[in-house]
Amino acid sequence: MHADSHFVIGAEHHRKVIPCQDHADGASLPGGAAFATVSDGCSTGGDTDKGARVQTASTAQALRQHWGSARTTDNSVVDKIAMQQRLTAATAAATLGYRHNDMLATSLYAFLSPDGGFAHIQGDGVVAWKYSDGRVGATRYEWNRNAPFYPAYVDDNYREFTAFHGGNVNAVALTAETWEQPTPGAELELVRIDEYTISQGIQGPVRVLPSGLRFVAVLTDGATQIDGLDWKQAIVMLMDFGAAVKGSFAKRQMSWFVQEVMKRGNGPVDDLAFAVIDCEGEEGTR
Amino acid sequence: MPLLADSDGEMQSRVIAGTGFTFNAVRIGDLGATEYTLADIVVDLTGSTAPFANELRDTVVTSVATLKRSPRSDNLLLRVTVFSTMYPLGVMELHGYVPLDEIDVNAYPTFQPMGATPLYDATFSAIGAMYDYGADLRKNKFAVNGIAIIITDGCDNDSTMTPALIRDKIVQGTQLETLESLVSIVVGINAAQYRNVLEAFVRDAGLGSYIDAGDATPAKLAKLADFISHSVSSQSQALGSGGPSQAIAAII
Repeated sequence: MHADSHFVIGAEHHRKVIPCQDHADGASLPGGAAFATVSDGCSTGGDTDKGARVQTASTAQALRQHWGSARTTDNSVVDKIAMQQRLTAATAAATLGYRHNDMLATSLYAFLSPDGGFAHIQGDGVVAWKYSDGRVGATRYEWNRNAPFYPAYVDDNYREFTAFHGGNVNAVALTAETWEQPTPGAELELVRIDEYTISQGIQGPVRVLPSGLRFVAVLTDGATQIDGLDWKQAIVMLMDFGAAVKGSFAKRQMSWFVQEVMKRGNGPVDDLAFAVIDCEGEEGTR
Repeated sequence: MPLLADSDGEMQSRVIAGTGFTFNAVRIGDLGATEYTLADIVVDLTGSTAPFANELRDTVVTSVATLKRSPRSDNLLLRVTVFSTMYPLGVMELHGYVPLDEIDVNAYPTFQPMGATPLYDATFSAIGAMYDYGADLRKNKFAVNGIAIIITDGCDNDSTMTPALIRDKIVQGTQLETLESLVSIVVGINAAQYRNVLEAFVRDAGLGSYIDAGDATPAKLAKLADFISHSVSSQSQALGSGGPSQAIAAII
C-alpha cells in the first residue's frame, strides 16, 4: 500500500489573509498497512492551523503505535486509538503551550491493511473510495448549524458543544449521505442517509470499508465547497487517478484538480485537505 | 547504444508521431514527483567536431554532473542525443528521458565524430520527443516544461526534416498547451562563419534563440557546460510560473 496527502488554502482564507487551517498526512506502515488522515481547524477558533497539524500528527502517531503492537485494522480498536490520539494531542498542546482554542480541529482518518479497515470521523468531511472496477463512492458527514465536533471538546467534557446543539445528547445533529456510482463513470446515486445523535457524533461514526477497493481517501469539508461544482463531482474528479500513482500522487492530483476547477470558478472556497491510500500501490519512486 | 541508466525500472520506447524518429523515456507510472522539466542536450558529432570531441564530451559530463547536484534534480528528466549522418535517421540517443540519479556520467561513451550534419533532424527529434512525452505527462497530471539545447559547429547539410516541420511541431504543441513553456537554444561552437545561416534556422524553425559560443577552446567549452547546467536548472525553477525562465544568459 502507498499513501500520500496534500492540502491547499481556500479562496476565502486567501481573501481574509488568514492561513490554511487544514492539514493532511498519510503513510504506509511496515507490514502492509497504511493510513490517511486530515484535519480542519475551526475558522473562528485560535491558531487552529497549529491545532490541525497537531491533530494529524497525533493521529499518525496513535495509528503507528497501535499497528506496531497489535497489527489489526479491525474497527474494534477505534476507541483505543481515539484515546491515544487525544492523549498525544493533549500532551503536545501542553508541551507547546497551545491553548484550547488553538486545538479546535476535526479528525478524519482511514486505516487499512490487506485484512480490511475502517474510517473514523470526528467532525465533518468526506470519506471517499474507488473500487478496483473503477466505481467511486463517498460519504459526506455534516453537522447541524455548521458546528462540527472537535476532539478537543473533551476539555470541558463536551458541555459547551452539547449546549450549542440544544443540550439533548440524544438529539440528531449529524447526517451522513452515502453516494455511489452503480457503474464506472455513471452519475453517483444516493445509497443511504444515516443520522447520528450528538452522543454518537462525539464518539465519531465508524465506517467499515468495503472490500475490493483500489483507493480510499479522507477529505475535509473543503471538498464540498468548490466554486461552481457539486461536491459529488469534486469527489469524482479527485478520485480520477491516472496511471501515475507513485510518489506524491495526491499532491499531483490536487494540483491538477485546483487548476481544473479554477477554469470554471474561484476553485476551493474553503481550505481543502486530501489524504489517500492506494491499496495496490508500492512505495518508491524514480 | 550505451546503457547509462542504472535503472531497476522500465523504459518505454516511443515513435515521435508521424515520423520514424524514436525516443526512450522512463515509464510514466514509475514517476513520483509532481512536476518535471524535460531537458534535451543535443550534440553535433559530425566530422568537423573531431578536433575537440573529447572536450565536447567533457562539456556534457560536467553539465550533467552539475545538474545532478541541482536543487531541482528530482524534477528533471534528461535526454542526451548526438547527431551525424553515421547514425540511422541522423540521431543517436545516448539515453532517453531519465531521472538524473540514474545517470552515470562516467558511462558516457568516447565521442567519435564522423559524417555530415543532420541538424534539422536532430532538432526535430528533440522538440518532437519533448512534446510527445510532455503530452503523456500532462495527461497524467504532471506539470511539465521543457528546454532543448542544441550544440553545433555548422549548418545542416543532410536532413529529411525541415525548419518548417520543426515550427509546425512547436506550433502544434503550443496550441495543445502540452508544455507550460519551452526554451530552445541553438549554440554555435566554432561556427562564426555560419552565424547568419544558423540564425535563419532558428527564426524559420520557431526556436527561441541562437548563441554563438565562439571558438572551441577549453575555456569556452567549460563556459558552455556552465551555461547548460544553469539554463536547465533555471528553466526548471520557472516551472509553475506560467512562463519560461527569464534568467537564462543571452551570451556564453
